Amino acid sequence: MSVSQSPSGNYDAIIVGGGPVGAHVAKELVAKNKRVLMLEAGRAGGLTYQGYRSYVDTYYTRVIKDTNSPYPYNPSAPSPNDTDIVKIVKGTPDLIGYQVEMGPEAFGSTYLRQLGGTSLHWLGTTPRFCPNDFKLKTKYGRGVDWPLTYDELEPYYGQAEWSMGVSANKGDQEMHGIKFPRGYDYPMERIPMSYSDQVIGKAVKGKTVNFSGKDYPVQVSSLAQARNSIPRKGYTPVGAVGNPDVGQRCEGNGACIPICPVQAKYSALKTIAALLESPYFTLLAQAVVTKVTLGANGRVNGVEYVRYETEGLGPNATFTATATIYVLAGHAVENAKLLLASNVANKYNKEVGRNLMDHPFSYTWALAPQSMGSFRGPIQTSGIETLRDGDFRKDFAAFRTDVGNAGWDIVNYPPNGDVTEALGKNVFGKKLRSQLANTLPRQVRIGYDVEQLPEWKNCVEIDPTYKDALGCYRPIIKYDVSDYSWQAMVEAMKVSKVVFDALGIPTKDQHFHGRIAGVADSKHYTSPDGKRHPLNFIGAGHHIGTHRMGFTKSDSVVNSDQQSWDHDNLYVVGCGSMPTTGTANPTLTAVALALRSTKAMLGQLR
Amino acid sequence: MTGFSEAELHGTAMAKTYFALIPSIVGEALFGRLLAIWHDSWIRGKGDEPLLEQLVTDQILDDPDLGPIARNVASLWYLGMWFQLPAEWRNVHGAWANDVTFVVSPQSYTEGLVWKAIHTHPPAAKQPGYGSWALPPVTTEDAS
Repeated sequence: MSVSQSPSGNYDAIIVGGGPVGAHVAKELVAKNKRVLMLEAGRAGGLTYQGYRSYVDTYYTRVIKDTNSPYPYNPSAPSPNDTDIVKIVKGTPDLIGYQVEMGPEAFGSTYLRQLGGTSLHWLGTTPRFCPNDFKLKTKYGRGVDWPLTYDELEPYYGQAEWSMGVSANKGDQEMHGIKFPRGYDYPMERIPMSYSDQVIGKAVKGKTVNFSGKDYPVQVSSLAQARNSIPRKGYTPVGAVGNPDVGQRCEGNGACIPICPVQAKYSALKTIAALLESPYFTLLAQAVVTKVTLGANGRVNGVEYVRYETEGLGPNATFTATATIYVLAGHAVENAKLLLASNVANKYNKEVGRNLMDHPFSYTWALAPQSMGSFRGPIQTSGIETLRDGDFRKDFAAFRTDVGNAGWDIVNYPPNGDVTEALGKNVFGKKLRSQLANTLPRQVRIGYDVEQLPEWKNCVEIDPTYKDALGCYRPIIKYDVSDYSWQAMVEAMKVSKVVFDALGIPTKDQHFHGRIAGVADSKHYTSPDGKRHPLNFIGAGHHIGTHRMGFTKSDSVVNSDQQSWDHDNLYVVGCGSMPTTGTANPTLTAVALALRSTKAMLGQLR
Repeated sequence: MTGFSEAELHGTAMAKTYFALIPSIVGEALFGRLLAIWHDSWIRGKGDEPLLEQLVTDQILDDPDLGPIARNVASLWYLGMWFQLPAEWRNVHGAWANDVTFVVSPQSYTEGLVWKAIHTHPPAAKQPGYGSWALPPVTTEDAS
């Protein structure tokens, strides 16, 4: 309908948060003529084409082009930034930025509070979880099981893939028991694999690694990605918001993170822009929900929110909005924060905010003897997916192997460093030009998204000492990584060794130790080449846990419908509901779970 | 200095911007001196690449006043960025108000020559088109 100033009337549902998960809940409810109010804490950025382009221009001019660099800092609804992450000194919290980090490890992941949520800066990688990810405890004696199975979620995976616009070939994705119904295929053909993917794929053909006494193939395959490609029958690609002819295909802009300039990559803006056409949908941005309130019967009877007129300045006013059901879709950290601040969903246990997880991301890099054509295409088009499941998970974590297309990207943020370093050595003119031409396209980077187990001590907390400009709690993060994941990083480096050797890269040009700014070297070492390399990691941006689903009201915050055990008209949705991380980038699964949950919501709204 | 032709530099449409920008950060005196010495080296070394390189290294890059400015001129062309001058330079010449590390403009980023040097395009601009990344890359041999 419109971006209204203040909500009026009775809503069937209030959705807190305008990211991909909230947008998909709204889409399903509005399709059934339910009246939905969406409250978004951040600005309604990107709803017009020119507005979105202004973020692209901002990206161009940022010195550090990190995950949130295109999106203006908003003191009224702050987000954690990559540059806030520092080495944690024992006993001293890291107070830089929005998030308060208590350690012992730095939690190096970011998200974005703005309409569209973190799907504005996500990479767009959309693999499904493996069936065994749903029963880790039963199968491998680790972590916990999910209260639902792959088969139960499968139809919603398909629905999510068609709604978000995922490009993939079914055959590439059929592994580790991931199955598709007969007649199903992805809405668009797979994104072409990059030249370097092809070179690596050919080089490692037939190679294996041995994990826990068993050989596993090192095999490069195409990734499922939510970016536009050639449509299959029955699908029309969705282009840029406000300019749908733009972004009909991925054009190889190479900036998926932090912004796709043509919007060929899916973002929740596409879903929300379509919803704005409906009279059943109302959006209210710059509305920070501060409290979920309960009636005498223990059911939710409203949400309080602060509306700010000007970012960082106010004036601010507090309102209450009411509906039949309430859906928290504000991100794993924000959902937990809101539940804690409201003192709700904690009658049967103290699980709210607990079991915070990520995919600790460790990486290796090398200089190939020949051009790999680096710095071309989407940031990632392929992976080594063969180690996402296996009997070794009894001993150490599984992982997804990401084969990058952007040279040493996160290693040293080329090409700035390469240019200034050369100039510092008085290399200039034609020599400078050819030195860059002969090195940068040879850069290879391989990284590992490592599974992490749920642990009580890893959590989001709140404390009145730490509040933001609007008076809302800043999230306090306590985070550590157990040996189960560290050992996987140790083992994963064997995969890099296989790849680098297969490419004929001399040992001196193979690097297994990522010294990361702000991150301390750990006590863990890897030695795939016989030398000892201290390990460390950064965040993958995959916040998981914090309001997990479970089998009983004593072990979890929500049931398999993501419905609160305590308050039957409260749903807490998103990656926070996931009991374990698996190895898949979680957004697709979060959207699939949300679509499944809307059945229960609609049942309640009948 | 950049290894790109005059036509390629003009093609960026950034020359005027940079010409106005540099003296606004380091002052006209130093910038004038840099231009004069560069011009002198260029005339003397014309047609003799090794001599030109020697002159530029000795008279400009190794000069504590001009070297850091010259490197920044190259950074402007290559990256569209100005880097804050070294602390040693600022001890002598003072820290000018707008001597901070910054990207000059959206255009300066997209016109950075480094991307051309490495046979690709600036991320988020001048996109090469669907599927182009699957083809073998252009190499220096192809390009020359």
